[in-house]
Amino acid sequence: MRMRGEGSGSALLAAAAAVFAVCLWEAAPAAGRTVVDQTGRQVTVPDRPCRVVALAPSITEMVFALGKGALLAGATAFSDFPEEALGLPAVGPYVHPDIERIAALSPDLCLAIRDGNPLDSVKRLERLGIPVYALDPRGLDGVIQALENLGGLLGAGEEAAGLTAAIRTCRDRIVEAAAASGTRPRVFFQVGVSPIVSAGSGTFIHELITLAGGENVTAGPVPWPRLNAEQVLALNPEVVIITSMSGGPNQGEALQALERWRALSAAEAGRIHVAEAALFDRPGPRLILALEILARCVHPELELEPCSLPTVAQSSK
Amino acid sequence: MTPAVRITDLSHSYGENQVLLEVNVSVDAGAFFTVVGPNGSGKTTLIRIVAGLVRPLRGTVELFGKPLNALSRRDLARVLAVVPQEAPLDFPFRVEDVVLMGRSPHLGLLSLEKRRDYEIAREAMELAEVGHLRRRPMDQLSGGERQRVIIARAVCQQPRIILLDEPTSSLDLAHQVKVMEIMKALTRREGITVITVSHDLNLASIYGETILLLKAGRVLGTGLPREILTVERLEEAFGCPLLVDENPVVPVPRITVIPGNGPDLRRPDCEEH
Amino acid sequence: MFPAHRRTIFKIGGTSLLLAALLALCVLLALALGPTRQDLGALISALIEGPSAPGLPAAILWEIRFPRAVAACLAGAALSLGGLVFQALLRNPLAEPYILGVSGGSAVGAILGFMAGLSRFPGVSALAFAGGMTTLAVVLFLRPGSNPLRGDSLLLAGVMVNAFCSALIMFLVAVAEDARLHSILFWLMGDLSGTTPEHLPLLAGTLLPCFAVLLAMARPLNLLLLGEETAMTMGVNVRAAATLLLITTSLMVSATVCSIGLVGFVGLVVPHILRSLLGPDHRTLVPACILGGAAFLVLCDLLARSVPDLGEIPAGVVTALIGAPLFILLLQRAGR
Repeated sequence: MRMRGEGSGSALLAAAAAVFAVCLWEAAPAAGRTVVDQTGRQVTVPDRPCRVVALAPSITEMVFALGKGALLAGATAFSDFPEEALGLPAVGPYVHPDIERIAALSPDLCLAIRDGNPLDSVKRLERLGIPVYALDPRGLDGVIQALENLGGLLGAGEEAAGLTAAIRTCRDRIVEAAAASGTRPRVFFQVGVSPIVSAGSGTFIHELITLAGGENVTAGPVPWPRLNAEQVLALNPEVVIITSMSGGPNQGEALQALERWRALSAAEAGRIHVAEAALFDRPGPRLILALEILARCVHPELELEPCSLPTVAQSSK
Repeated sequence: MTPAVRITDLSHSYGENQVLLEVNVSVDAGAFFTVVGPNGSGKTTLIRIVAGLVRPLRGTVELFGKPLNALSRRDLARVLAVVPQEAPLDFPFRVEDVVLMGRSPHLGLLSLEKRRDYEIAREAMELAEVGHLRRRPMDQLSGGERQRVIIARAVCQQPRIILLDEPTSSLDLAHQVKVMEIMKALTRREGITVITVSHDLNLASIYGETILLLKAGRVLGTGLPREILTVERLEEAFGCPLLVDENPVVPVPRITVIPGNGPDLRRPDCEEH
Repeated sequence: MFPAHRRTIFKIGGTSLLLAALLALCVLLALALGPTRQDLGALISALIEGPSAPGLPAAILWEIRFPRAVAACLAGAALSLGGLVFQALLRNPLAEPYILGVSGGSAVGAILGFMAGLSRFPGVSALAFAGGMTTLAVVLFLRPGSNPLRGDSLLLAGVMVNAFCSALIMFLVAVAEDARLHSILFWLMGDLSGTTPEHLPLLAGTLLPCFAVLLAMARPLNLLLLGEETAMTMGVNVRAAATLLLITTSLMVSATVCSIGLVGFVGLVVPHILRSLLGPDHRTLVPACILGGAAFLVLCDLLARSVPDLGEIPAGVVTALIGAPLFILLLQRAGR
């Protein structure tokens, strides 16, 4: 007597085999060109992408900064800057994007970020025939490169050039001024309150601190070292910067952290600052603003002209 | 006639503990064979060896002429069924399901029971007088009823030999008698050889046609109750004062304990008073 | 009334048919519904046309929803069967498929794979499988003796190994890079979203033979419930049967875990629910667990990915949220 369970099991196996055999559903090759993305992969992208999905909040910001926000059909969760981005359909968190939601938007291009999007997600999107262009905006140079690449991709070459020029100018100005100051205050940059997490040598935060004319006390091989309170007190930094999501639930956390560092000499000198996390977390165009804030904290004595980034109007195409 | 069970020079020990020593026994087909003896005399080990659950260190066991270790588990199960002292009860099956499981040694892995199997099960339940409890789950039965269900399952295996390990130890008087009567009927009507281990000397005397008396792993004697259940042998085996007289109901010996200071258990043999 | 000997066949056949229908319904629901709304007509024609059908609904159906539904079926069946077999083997109603340390070892292997940057398939899956088999070997090694089932020591060995692995997992999670952490956490809570069509032949090829073996072992499972010695006296070669059951079930559970992570509760709750409805006969329960377990996980997964705005929650969360109250309800009913 054949058990029913065996019967339906065989049918499933046959169907699965059929799917496997006929798999790799390929879209008709789009009119486009083959480019090399920022991680060295070859990707065939459409000449004029018109439905783009951004797979990280920093990418969303970059696209809007280039004036091409209208091209976005969707973005990952927490894409909250600029305000127009809030209306975009959400496709899940950037560490675990929802493939079905992305596919349902029928994008002709997806923009991924190397540090954050799972490789599996990228592969699955490509299997569905959706080209994925990966960016790698590590550090200010990486952001500049990413903006230039995006400019080429989205037909915003001029805007990209203007934006990156402004960023470079601002950066150079800050670096010059900091170098001229002659001092390198010791800086402790805190990204996590509980546990206490700081930034090591390989991170863009370290790069920013150095550019801003400071010395990162937690420089070292570990990218995101964890410390206990004792170690921080022993390091006795001159400047402390704590990032928090302003207005969010972490506001309380930042205040907690402030309490903890009362014993530091930096506290007495009034050199403990709370900064907006979104500026420092996201390797996007606003990173230069983060640098500016950092410079002001590290070298308050300098008279720095505020950075101004060109506001680009959102074009409808 | 080939004896149902022939045990030759059987010896077994657990570690340094010698449990059985040069045991020689022959059980006739269709006999009601009772094994008695004090604790630690090796009764249970003997039964477990015959049941194929323990491999003896020395000696042979033959069932109807065939050596025990030459039989596969399935073949053994078709010849011999075991009624254990206690059965675990974690998942309550229904009575008829339990009895039907006795048919397993006769069925292939994937085959289901047929009409004939159900009839055999029904007959076994009638024999054990649990037919009216067919659809009851096991955990709703009394101890005595449960024991009879297990007997029915053993009968359902259609064995030629049934082994029982102290089948009446946790039963009340009425159930004790009932179980023994069922066993007797099995030997008479079905020709099944019944071998049981018993603590109850009087029940053994009344029902057991052949008695095997063990002490410290050795056979003290085999034979009719009248021959084996004598004061001398029993006091030698159990080491405590006893009175043996004639049972007023059935012409067999009746054993009565003599209360008093009790047996001197420090010494393996107690002195004659 | 039906003659007695036909009743069993009817019961097995009847419940299997009913559960198969339920499973079919659940699968159809899982194909029709999801985080995005797709036109039902388009889905149906895509279903009929087959995997080569063009268009977006077909892609969503065949690339995303179908492999996921199949994986949920296979995994749900495997986990339920695993729980059923371990409950019978160990004669313990609290047994569930991860009890012998397979989950701990698989998790450690998988996390190491994620930390090394490997992709789900084949890298992480292979390491998870290796991890699971390693801990199984350790548990069996720690429990020497001719009879692998004697006493509670097998259970205890499994609990110890799982505890050790939990500590290892905590450690690895603590030191893992933030970028990898999310993938790890999702996997630890059960993640069916990573299933692609290329997964399926290997998964099915491993699980279906295991199902077949266990279907054949239904009667010995019944006998084992009566006690090892009783089973022996009824013709079961207990050592061989127990070893076969142990290895088959562990293989089945390991393959499942390395595909979808640690989905809990299915293996504990489904066998109990079915047992309370259908009785303890494994000849009915084994096919019932295959079909019922599949339906349960397909449904839970459907719920897990249909939460609006939240994206996706891990399937293990839904199985626990649904499974635990169900279980308590069952216990109360049984108590009465």
